[in-house]
Amino acid sequence: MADQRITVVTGGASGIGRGAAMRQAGGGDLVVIADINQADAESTLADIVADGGQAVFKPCDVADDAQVSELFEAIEQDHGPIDVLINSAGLLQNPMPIEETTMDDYDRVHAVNVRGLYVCCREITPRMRERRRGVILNIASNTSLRAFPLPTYGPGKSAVMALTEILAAELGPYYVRVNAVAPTACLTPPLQARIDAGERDYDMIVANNAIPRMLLPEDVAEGIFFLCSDRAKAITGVTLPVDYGWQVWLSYRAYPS
Amino acid sequence: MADQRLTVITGAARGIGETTARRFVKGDDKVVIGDVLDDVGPETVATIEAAGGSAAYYTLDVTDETSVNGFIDQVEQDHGPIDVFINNAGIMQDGLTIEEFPMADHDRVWNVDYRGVYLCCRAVVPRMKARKQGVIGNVASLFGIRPYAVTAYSPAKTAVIALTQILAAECGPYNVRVNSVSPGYVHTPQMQDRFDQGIRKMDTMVKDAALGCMTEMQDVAEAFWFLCSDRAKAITGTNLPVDCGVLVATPYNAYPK
Repeated sequence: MADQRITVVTGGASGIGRGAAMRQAGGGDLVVIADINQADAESTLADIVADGGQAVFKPCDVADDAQVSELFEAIEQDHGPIDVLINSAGLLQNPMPIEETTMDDYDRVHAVNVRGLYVCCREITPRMRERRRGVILNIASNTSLRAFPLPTYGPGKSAVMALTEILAAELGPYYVRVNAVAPTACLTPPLQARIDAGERDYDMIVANNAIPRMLLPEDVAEGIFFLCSDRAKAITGVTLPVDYGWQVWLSYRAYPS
Repeated sequence: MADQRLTVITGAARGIGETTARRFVKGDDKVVIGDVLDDVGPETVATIEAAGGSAAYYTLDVTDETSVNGFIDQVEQDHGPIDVFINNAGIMQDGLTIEEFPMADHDRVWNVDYRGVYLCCRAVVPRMKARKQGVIGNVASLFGIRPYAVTAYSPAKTAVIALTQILAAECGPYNVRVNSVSPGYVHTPQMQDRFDQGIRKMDTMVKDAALGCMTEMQDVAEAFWFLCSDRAKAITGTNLPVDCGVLVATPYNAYPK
């Protein structure tokens, strides 16, 4: 199809990235899953194809500048201009005070969540700018907006929100839109693993939301799908919470008696 | 149709409300318009019905508690439970300093733009809570997010955003969602009149937007359509700017040498 959109999802093999890849493919996009995890990527690819969608897998570690550069070059050579970039590759951290974090962990999380996202944007913006067309969607977090005991992960997600706003202003004159979503705790494989290990409590996470439901990747994917569609053509520079009301619930519930 | 959604939109005889009404009709909702514009409202309904849609008009003055309560009683009596309620009725003010702007005008702005929203929410919330189902959408404003030289309108819209968050928390446990949309500079017929009269200038509004355009009424309607749909079931308590990037472009472009 000549006018099929090409959507790249970093970290698209699992979690929110997988949800976004499935939803975009369901909407008719050709989806490129860029991820380090080949096994998960292949399983997501199979699910997309089984649903009648189209997707390909390109191995890529966003923490490696050269791989990112090659990724975008290869995609555009093989498939044509990228219309949508969804920056979903990310790592979590466990809650702890700052002095208990190791700088190795800090560097690893920062290299993917902040620097990796930055490099992906830096590779795609000249292309989109020149074509005067494109959408970038970043995965921020509720920790972008409020304090959590996540001194490594949290500020990095605040930085994602700040970069989203800067790039939206910078690229607006070229009709390129840049937005983010801010999910609360979402039932992704790393969260599920922590719940299974007894480190997190499913019911307590749900009780933190105004609407007491567990956020699923497909819920986040719907917000992403809308923001990346032409229906949102007047929306740029926003960070949309997709959180079952987490953000408003915490202070409301904490009102002292 | 037994499961046709019933959507109520205040101030929808014309402008953004009317466009939103038409969007919801297109999505197969039955739409009830409440407005003070008795000369325009019935005509809007007539054109919707002529095109095969389902709509009704009622006189509603959101500044009058009796009118609001009577309206909601009557609508539910005539059409059944309200599924979606959009608080769109609002008035603008001229850009004047605090001492220049008469208190009578100040009170009028607050009565319509905030107290009217409060009254309508107060009347519809218990019904939605009892049914454990419903969505409320409020028209906030870019001016409610940042301070602009409209000393009544801007704080009133900030109050709408605050109320949206409080009600989202209050109603979340009842599965009722509450969100707001913050339009930027919208190209309404009323705004076009002001351009024609030389009171406002389109050039400056366009220059302030990252995307270099004005928000169209349809853009706002699409945002409400998404937020009020089940695809946004995980989204409550948010305020979504639909501003062509004015929020991000204003500081970005103001960066001094």
